[in-house]
Amino acid sequence: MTLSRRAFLKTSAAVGTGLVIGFYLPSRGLAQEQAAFSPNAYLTITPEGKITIVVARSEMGQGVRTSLPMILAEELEADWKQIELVQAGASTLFGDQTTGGSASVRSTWDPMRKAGAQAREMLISAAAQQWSVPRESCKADNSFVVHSASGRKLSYGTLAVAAGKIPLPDNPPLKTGSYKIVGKSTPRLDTPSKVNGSAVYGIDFRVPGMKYAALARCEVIGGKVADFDATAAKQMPGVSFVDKIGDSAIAVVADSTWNAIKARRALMSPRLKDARSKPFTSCRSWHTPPWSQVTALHIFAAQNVKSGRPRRFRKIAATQSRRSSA
Amino acid sequence: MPSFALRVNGTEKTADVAADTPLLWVLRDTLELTGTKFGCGAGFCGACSVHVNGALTRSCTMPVSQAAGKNITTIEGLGANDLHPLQKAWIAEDVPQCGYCQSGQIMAAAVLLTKTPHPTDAEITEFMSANICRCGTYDRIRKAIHRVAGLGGTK
Repeated sequence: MTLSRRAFLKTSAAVGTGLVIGFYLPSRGLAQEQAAFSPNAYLTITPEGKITIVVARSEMGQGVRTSLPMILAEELEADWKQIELVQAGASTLFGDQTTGGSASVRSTWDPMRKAGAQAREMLISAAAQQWSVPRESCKADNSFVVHSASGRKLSYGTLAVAAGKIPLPDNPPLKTGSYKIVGKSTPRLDTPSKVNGSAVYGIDFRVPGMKYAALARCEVIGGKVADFDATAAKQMPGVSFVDKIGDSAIAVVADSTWNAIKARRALMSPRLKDARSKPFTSCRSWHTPPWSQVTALHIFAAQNVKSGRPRRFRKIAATQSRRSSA
Repeated sequence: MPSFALRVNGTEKTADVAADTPLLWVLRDTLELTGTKFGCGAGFCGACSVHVNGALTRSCTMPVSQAAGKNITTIEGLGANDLHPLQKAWIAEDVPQCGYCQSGQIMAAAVLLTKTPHPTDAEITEFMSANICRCGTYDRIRKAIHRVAGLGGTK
């Protein structure tokens, strides 16, 4: 799907009840430049004053769900306490959401700033129109537009609908310093969800009727599937699929995580028993380099688990070193 | 399919699953309490930690048949009506980075403070060392535990 910026704004105005700003990542090369631009993330301000910033990068603990909204909020002159974040969905609307290479802040710094600044300028224009004063006499501050001369002020929420009718400025002025949010140590926006179990990770995502997959993979880099016998796994409860995925894994699909894991074990278990004397989970099912300590660790883990008891790594290390010296 | 009765976070629940299903998957898949995480699946990493009759338990290696009839507390039910003091301390110290292990860390810390209300650094290290954090938030975990201990324990 391709979506021009104007088309995106029009769509947003039709479904939304407030100011929505779409914006774009800079292109990363000529090849991509020829593809249509699509918004990477966007900002919504509701008439109730809720400011939502969409984060189109994956949070992996590096803090993008806080740092990227900070960049936008800075130019928006927003009250940081009003900011809520939304994770971008799996949509082409947000462009390439690849996250890596310590590139998220660097690659979204300019577009995030511009998006915040555009919104700020539109909110100022809307207030100036409402008051019939020169827009230069108004300024944005902490989620309000203020007319110092008369002492009047209007909240961003109050101005949201009117601001949505202001033409989008192409080159809004950007701050050159005096940052209020950027550069300050800021508690992460998503910490509360990570201490009460409500944060949704990839493994937590659910769709109705979904299936669960478990992979049997070689335990060393470079191992490839030679052959495997799916008969037992296919007969396990709830299993709907067992087959090779590429060269390096066998996938088992079932109606629950545990059924998938059990069926994967059925695929492997006759060979696990051989693992102490043979190179890997099966010398027949994988083409692999020789024995490694990684395998020793995995097998120890599988064979020495008691129900519900915490295990400690130093015990594995001890076992591993005994085995190495034997 | 056998049926197992569990008391989870104070509520009676039933799970119709195979007897060897680990408690973890009953919590996550059957009861849709996804705050408890799957890490290693072998009882090593602590991401799946819950309380079973008050004891710190690796739910990934406890079959539901052993958990049946017992009181199970997960991260979703740790604080009764409000956040548990540890959860508040975790927020105050901004402990999590990726956060994946933190449900387990908090469940472990809650048991530590029940046994040792004012733990030393060494006691925290000893008890918490079975919960692994790849982000390396151990220093803030220790601070958060001390913060609660300084308030006079968790109860």
